[in-house]
This record gives sequence, C-alpha cells and structure tokens, in this order.
Amino acid sequence: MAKDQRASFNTEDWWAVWLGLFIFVLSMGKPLVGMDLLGWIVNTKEYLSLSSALGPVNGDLALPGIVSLLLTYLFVAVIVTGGGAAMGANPKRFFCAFSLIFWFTCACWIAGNWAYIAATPNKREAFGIGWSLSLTGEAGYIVALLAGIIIGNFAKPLARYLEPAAKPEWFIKTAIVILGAVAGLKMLDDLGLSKTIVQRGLCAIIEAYLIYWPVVYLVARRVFKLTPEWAAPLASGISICGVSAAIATGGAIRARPIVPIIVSSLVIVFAVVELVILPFAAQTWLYKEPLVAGAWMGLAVKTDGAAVASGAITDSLIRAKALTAQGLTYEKDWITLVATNTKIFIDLFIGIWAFVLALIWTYGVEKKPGEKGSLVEIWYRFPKFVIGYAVLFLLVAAVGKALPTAAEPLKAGFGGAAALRQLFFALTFFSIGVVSDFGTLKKEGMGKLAAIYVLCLFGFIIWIGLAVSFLFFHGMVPPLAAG
Amino acid sequence: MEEPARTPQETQDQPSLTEEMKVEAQPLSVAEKKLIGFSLGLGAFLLVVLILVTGAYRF
Repeated sequence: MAKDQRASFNTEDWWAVWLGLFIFVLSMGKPLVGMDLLGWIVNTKEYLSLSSALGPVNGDLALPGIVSLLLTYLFVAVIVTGGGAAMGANPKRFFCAFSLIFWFTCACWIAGNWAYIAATPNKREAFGIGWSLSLTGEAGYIVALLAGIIIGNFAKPLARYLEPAAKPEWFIKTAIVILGAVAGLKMLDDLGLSKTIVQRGLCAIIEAYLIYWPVVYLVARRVFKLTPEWAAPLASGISICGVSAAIATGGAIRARPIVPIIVSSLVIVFAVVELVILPFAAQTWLYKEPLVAGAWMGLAVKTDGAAVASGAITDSLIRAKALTAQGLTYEKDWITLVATNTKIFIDLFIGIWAFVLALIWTYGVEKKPGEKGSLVEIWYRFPKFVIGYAVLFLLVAAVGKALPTAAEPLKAGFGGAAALRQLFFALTFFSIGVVSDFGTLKKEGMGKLAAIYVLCLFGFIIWIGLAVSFLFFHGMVPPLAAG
Repeated sequence: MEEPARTPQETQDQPSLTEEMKVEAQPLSVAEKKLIGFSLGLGAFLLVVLILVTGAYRF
C-alpha cells in the first residue's frame, strides 16, 4: 500500500470505524431523544415455521418480517457500497456483488435458526419437537461458512463475481467496533470480571510475539532450511495475525512482495480449518472452562475474522452445552469478548514488532545501516479499527458509570446495533468461505510452507495457547443470564 | 487484504515457488540467534511476572 494511502482515513480499518460509529450513533436515538432509529432492523429467531423466522428488532412496530429484511438489506447495502466506493471499488459492481453476498448470507442465517438445528433441549417442548442439534441460532454462522467454502472452491466463476465485495476482514472489524459498546455494557454489569479479562488478556501479547514467533522462526530456519526472507513473514503469519502481520513483516525486512502474499494465502486456508474444528473441540472439552475456551480461540486462530468468528461460535456452542450438561445459562457474548480482547491485544503490537524487526534486519541480519525503520511505521501498522472499539467501550462505560440510570436505556436502545453486529458477523463467515481457496495447498512448492504451518500450528501453537489460556482464565465463568 | 505493489520487473523475474524452497540453507546469524534467545527469555520472564501480578497462580 502506498504511503499516502497508509496515512489516509480511507482504508478498510477506518471504514470499519466509520460504519461502526455510525451504527452506534443511530442506536442511541432511542435513549437520547426517544426515537428508535434502528427498530426496523430485521431480527431472526429460532422457528419451526418459516413465517415466524423474521421480525423487526422493535417488536412494537407493525412491520412484516420480510419488509424489515428488505429495509435492512437496503440500509446495509447502501452504507457498505458507499464505503467500498470510497475505497476505490466500482460502485455498481460492488453493489451487485454485495447484494448476492447479503442474500446468500441471510438465507444461511435463517436456515441455521430452524428449530431442528438451533433449539436447545429446554426449547424443544415449546416447538413441539422431540429432537434438535442444539447448536443455537448461531448455527447460521456455520451454515454461512460452509456455503461460502462450497462457492469459493467449487463455483469459482461465482466466487470471482463475489470477490470485490467479499471482505471478511472489513466486516468483522465493523462488528468488532460495535462490539466495543457491548464490552462497555458488560463492564457496567460486572466490572471485576471485565478488568480481570483485560489484565489477563495481556498474556496474549507475550505469547504471540515472544514465545510463538521465535520458535516458529527457529523451526522454519533450522528444520526446514528457509531463508530469513521467508522465515520471518511466515513466523509472523503463523504466530501473530496472519495476513496483516505477514505483510507488515515482509515490508519491515524488505522481502519481495510475493513472499507475504503466498504466506497470507496459506494463513487464510488454515484459519478456516481451525474455525471449523476448534470451536467444537472447545465445546467438547472446555464447556466447564468457558473463558479458557474464548482465550484459546484468540490465541490459536490466526486472522481477525476467523479468531473472532471462532469466539462467537464457541460462545454459542458452550452456552448450549452448559445448559444441557450443567443446567447453567451463561450470559451471551462474554466468551466472544475474551476471544476478541485476546486477538486485539495481539494486533496492537504488529506495528511495534515490524519496527523492531526492521531495526534488527537493518543492523543485524542484513546490515544496511542506511535504511533504518521509521517510527511512523508503528502508526501506519496500528490496527485502526481498535480505535473505534476503544472509543465505544470507553464512551459507554464512562456514560454508564457517570449516570447509573443511563445503563438500562443504553442497553434497550442497542437492539438494532446488536442485530447489525450479528449480521456483520454472518457476512464475515460467508465471505471467509468465499475467499478461502483450498486449491492453494496443491500449488507446486507449497508443500514445504504448508508442512511448517501444520507442524507449528498443530504441533505447539494450539497446545501452548491452550495451556496459557488455562493458566490465566481457569475457573472464570461468565455471569448467569437473568431469568 | 492489502497487496504490496510489484514492479513489472519483479513480476517478470519471479522464480517459481518450488525453486524458492530449494535455495541453499543459510546458517543462523548471530543477530538471529540473539533475537530468538532474547525473545524466548524475555517472554518466559514476562509470563511469570504477569502470572504473579494478576494472581493467575491462585487456582
């Protein structure tokens, strides 16, 4: 990316901030001026008959579900296309591609909410059914992911058509910005737990940069005989944050552009594999340690989109299992927040790490003292969407703390934003599937890189991540849901 | 995903990935050894400090 573009406010990261803040401001219409500006946003609920699947977030509105869905489509398509066009996409092309993505995603989301898939045992009687998969409504994410993978790998012409608008990182970052307000609301509910989660989440930074990175680099250099030019971006991609870290590292050490591109393509494929496997593993073995599971997702899954997505799926799967196995109804979103928090902490230091590597390469590994790293690189590499997350978190927490009576109206007004956050999550899942090309693994020469990835990821990163997550989050559970 | 810019010359001169992976191994330099050792040492130390500071050792 050219320097001017890196300094601009017109990148995916910044557009995640703009969209997230815009949605939050609209959601505050109700608590601030008594106008529910997002009450018409579509909400889905578990259903047996399709006719009862959809309805507006504000149940008092006499709005048919399909109308609510159409309005939501128009609203989201316009704001997302606006952002895409501002970033240089052809508006008409983007709008058409995004429209398809939206309707595919909604179909998957609705399918995932069918009672036989979603209903937990305590809800079966109300639906009049004798069995269900108990995956909760978030099964829609898995359906969307699978649909995206099928399109991305077996319907390549369609995948190419959708590609301009298949932006999983942008969608998840927008959702994360909105999640900042959720984190603020959670903090008002349980300050002690929130503080502990933030403090202990710092372990992620130490683990990713100071444990994973040097070990992966050593394995890549000594065992697999890669050159430093390949080993460093690969180490960053596997250890830190996939795409962003591989590119930042490639730039820092002046690697050829092809290097981080190939590493990034591998990262995306393996992140999808983890997304499909790890949440179910967490449900099976960690339902008694829910926050360990959340931290594990943040530490082990290596793109922002897949890590937070894994956290969301784990959240719903573990809540369902805790209900059936222990009779416990945990509050929603705490596990997702731990995963998100962990991932964000890792992201925060990408710029600093790139700067450190630039210095080490310049003065140590390749010795080109005339070309030293610049401190401004730290800002260029800083994940800007975190600013949006932090702003909403601090704003909501500060307002709620200063005006205790404001907490309930804030929560009540947030329904529309929460529904949109869920939609952006679903769009992320579908888009991740579309852009994942498992054919990458078959390309000539990929075997060695894939072998390093498999050895490091499944050999120690996942297990050290689990051990450290257990160490720091053992015994911590989300609050129980009211009622 | 951000894609680093490529010059036409870079695109033309790109060796295949298979050839890239067959490049002769270079031993670890002193700077690399120090990076690995220092990172691991600092990482282990900071993890212990964080465990103690956050009280995570209290099971």
